[in-house]
Amino acid sequence: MVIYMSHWTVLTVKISNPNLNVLKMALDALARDLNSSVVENFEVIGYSGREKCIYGIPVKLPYGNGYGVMVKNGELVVVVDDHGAPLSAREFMNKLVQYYSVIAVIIAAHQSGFRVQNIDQTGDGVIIDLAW
Amino acid sequence: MLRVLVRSSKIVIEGLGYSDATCLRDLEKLVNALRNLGLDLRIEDQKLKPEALRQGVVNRV
Repeated sequence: MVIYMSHWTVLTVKISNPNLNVLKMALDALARDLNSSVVENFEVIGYSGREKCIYGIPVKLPYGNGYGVMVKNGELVVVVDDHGAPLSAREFMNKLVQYYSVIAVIIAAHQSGFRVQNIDQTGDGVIIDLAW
Repeated sequence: MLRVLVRSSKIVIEGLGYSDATCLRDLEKLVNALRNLGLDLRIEDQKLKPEALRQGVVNRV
């Protein structure tokens, strides 16, 4: 008799102590969406202040010069004056976490002995099939 | 195989075609590698898929 043991697992995701190479790759993908590119050591300027970030994506915004990310106490922080911006800070973070997760899954799969068989973008997210 | 669906703040991992407990072991390997890459993952839900119950035999690991 065959005992089937397939599982369905749902994980909530946050980025913590990010791998900077993965972060840069995720930001590169996000920058392409915004028709821009990633700049290191970028100073984000907003209506009421400025903040030095490890990476930034310059975008002309009504009250700012783009998006930046920094790591504070291991947590990833998005810096932007998002009034009138194409992506709110929350939307930017959600996209960044998704892109970071996709890249991390591909790298982790190789490290764990899996082969990436297929990647498919759907309305529900990105599906990655990992074969043995 | 493992099918991974990446949403903005959730990852859903589905084991396909497993016939023993290696499903959970593969899952653990992948999750550990993801954690090492800076993903802070919390298991929100985990269940056996319907085919696991098909023959009335369920092993919970």
